[in-house]
Amino acid sequence: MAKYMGLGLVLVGCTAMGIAAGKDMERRVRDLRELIKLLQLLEGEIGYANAVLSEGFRHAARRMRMPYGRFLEKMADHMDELRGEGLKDIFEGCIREELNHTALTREDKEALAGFGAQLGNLDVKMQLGAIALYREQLLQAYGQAQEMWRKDAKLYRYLGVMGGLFLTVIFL
Amino acid sequence: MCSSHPGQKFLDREIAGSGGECIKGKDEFIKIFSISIRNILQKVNTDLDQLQEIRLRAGRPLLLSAGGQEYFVTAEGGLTGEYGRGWIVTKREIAETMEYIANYSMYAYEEELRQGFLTIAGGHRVGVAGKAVIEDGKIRSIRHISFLNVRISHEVPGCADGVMPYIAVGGEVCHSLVISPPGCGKTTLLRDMVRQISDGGPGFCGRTVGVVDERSEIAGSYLGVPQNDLGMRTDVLDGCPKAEGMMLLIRSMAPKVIAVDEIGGKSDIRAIETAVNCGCKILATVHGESMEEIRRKPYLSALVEGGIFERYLLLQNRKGAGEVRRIVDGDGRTLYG
Repeated sequence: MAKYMGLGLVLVGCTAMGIAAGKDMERRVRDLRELIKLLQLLEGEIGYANAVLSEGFRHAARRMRMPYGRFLEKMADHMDELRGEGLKDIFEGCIREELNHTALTREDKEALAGFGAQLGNLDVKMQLGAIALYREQLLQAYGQAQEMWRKDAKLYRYLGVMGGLFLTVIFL
Repeated sequence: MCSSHPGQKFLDREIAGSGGECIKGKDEFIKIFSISIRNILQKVNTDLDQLQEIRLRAGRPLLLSAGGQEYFVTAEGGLTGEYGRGWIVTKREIAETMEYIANYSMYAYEEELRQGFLTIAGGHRVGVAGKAVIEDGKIRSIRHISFLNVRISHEVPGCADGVMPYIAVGGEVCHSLVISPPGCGKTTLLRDMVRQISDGGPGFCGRTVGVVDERSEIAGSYLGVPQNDLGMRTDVLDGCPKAEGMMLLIRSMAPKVIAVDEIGGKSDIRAIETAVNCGCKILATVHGESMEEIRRKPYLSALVEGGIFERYLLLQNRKGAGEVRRIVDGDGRTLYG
């Protein structure tokens, strides 16, 4: 009896792993979409409202879902506190603290920190240029992630089930 | 007395940094400086009320003006007259300071940089100089900022007490023009006049006042919020050209009194005439030494000759800024002085 229960657990576990891998892909697509939304909001704040970054981040935070809203709030707090850190350090610190549990890859986070390092410079044109460039990168990553999700999520699910069945058969 | 020659003492007295609680109530203000300068200024033993200016020049000593005297600031936070003992400010420190002053958002201050100064929280003004970027013969921006002059904003509540009986007569505000040379406190006086007219006083009801603060000097607005007390019934239009601002306020905020600083241009005078025709009372300031000089000014003379202003307040700086020398009515009769 215990053996069959164990086999059942192996089957369920493998299936869950497959589903989770597919879900991770879906979460990354959602996270990248959230970053694209952030850029749209930031573009409005900088280009039209001429807001300082902390103010722009606070306004955008209200329209973003968690943990991105919290990430922006924290960034704004750090900037207003003027602790003596550079903008890149603030970005990196807040990414580490708030975006650790998102589905963003290491490369996604590095690109976000790199974008942060370009902000705050001399004129609005440069800021909007940096936003446009990062948006292009994000859209590309988003397209690829979406494609991967469509193609591979099902595959991971099947692999999970099949893997579970395979192990069950072997253990039988 | 100040000397610009290195090594020469301009001040006999030397004040040693005492450590501990120092630039009082200035913790927030000091945050605009780079970490190294912040650490030094924290040790400086002087009061915010006394502090007038802090000057940063790349490759030159940190300079501080307090109580009418200039001092070099040493690494230990002491104030000295010896050039050689002053903390030498680096370009990196100025860049870091600018980053904090602009709250990591230099782009948001493009327009201010074009004019050469920024207003920060607390209403303090930071003048900048460096390499001007010119486009079509006009300053587009300032790059390589290497000189900063942080001017501490001081409010003097009650400084207009003495003039209020002359400009608020029988419960009505008179069209008034404050005339003074630079540095005599005309903006400070105007600010307190606005506050008192807005809040009201004994036998005098408060009025809605509209302030057009083209250079952010009256209200010292930071992110649109006045940092100086301009009274409870005052609306401030910050960073807007005076003439356009006056028209906008009349259309949108229905002020009973409009206050503007440093008038003189043709468009300013036209806007004042329109405002007066709309029933608004005018409080304004202008650079000048005397009534005769004001009568000679090309556009302003029309207002003076037209008898628009009912009160002229002439200031001087013999005993100190804000000293009223004379008050004259619209017919040229001296009411005071």
